[in-house]
Amino acid sequence: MKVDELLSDYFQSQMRHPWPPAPGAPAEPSAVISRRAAAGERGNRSRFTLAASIALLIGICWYFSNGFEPGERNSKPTPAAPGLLNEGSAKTPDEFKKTKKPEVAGPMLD
Amino acid sequence: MPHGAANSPGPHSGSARRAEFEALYEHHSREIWALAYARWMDPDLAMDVTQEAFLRLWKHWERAKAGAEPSEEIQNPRAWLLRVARNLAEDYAKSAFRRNGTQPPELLNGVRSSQPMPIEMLEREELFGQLRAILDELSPADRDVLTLRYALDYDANSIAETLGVAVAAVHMRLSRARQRVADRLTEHEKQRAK
Repeated sequence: MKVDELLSDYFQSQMRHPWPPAPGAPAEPSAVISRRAAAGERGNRSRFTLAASIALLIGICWYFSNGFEPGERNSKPTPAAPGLLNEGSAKTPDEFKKTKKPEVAGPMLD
Repeated sequence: MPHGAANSPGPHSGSARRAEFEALYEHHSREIWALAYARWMDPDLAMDVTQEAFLRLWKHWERAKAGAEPSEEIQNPRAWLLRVARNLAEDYAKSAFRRNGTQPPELLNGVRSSQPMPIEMLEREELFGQLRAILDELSPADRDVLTLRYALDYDANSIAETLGVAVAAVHMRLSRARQRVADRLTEHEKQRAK
């Protein structure tokens, strides 16, 4: 094989067939606009997700504070202390009234 | 044949700019590939360098159009591309160890397919392997001339214009490189015959 032919074959074999196209240039105006629109859609979606999360959080808090069943809330007052009776009064019982007070003798001077 | 330099800083409308970009790629991408290939003898790396050079041209035009920063006006895109490709190839030289480790690049580049090849293909690959080793021994300047001559079928005038050297120098380098290749191939054949 002649040197010229061999060199030609060799270099041709090293080149790509078909030759690759020009590298992509994505910064065309229409592409920019479509990218911005896509970015806007993504932004709306994340704002919606954030709003839904906050609403869910508020709902859960309200539910655990018994917000959905206000009629069943316990309306009886809690005793101030465990030792005290409800409907108690400050009157002196009769048994205590019958008890006579012992007379105190004076000093024996005789 | 190389096309003349497109003396334009880049058209202003998007479609016109893209059309000029495509035209530049069509006219000059192969010679940029050829010079990158002559430097490293790696077709894939040469293609990466070519694509990167064109991408940088496009970004340069975009920046110039947007006025984002004061940038050099490209009067001759072909010369600009050749310069960028040369710089990229030199950058690769500095990072070759990082990319290839201790493995010589030619060992990695030799692995192309796991499929068995017919005997003719094997013989051809062996011959091309010898030729590759011979070309590797040549100076980069001689490889530039050979690659433009045989990959792109450029004549001496076109090679001289592309490389910025005298036509006589091109003839001299071509003759010397061909003789060197022929001598070395003959040596290989004698060694195989023994």
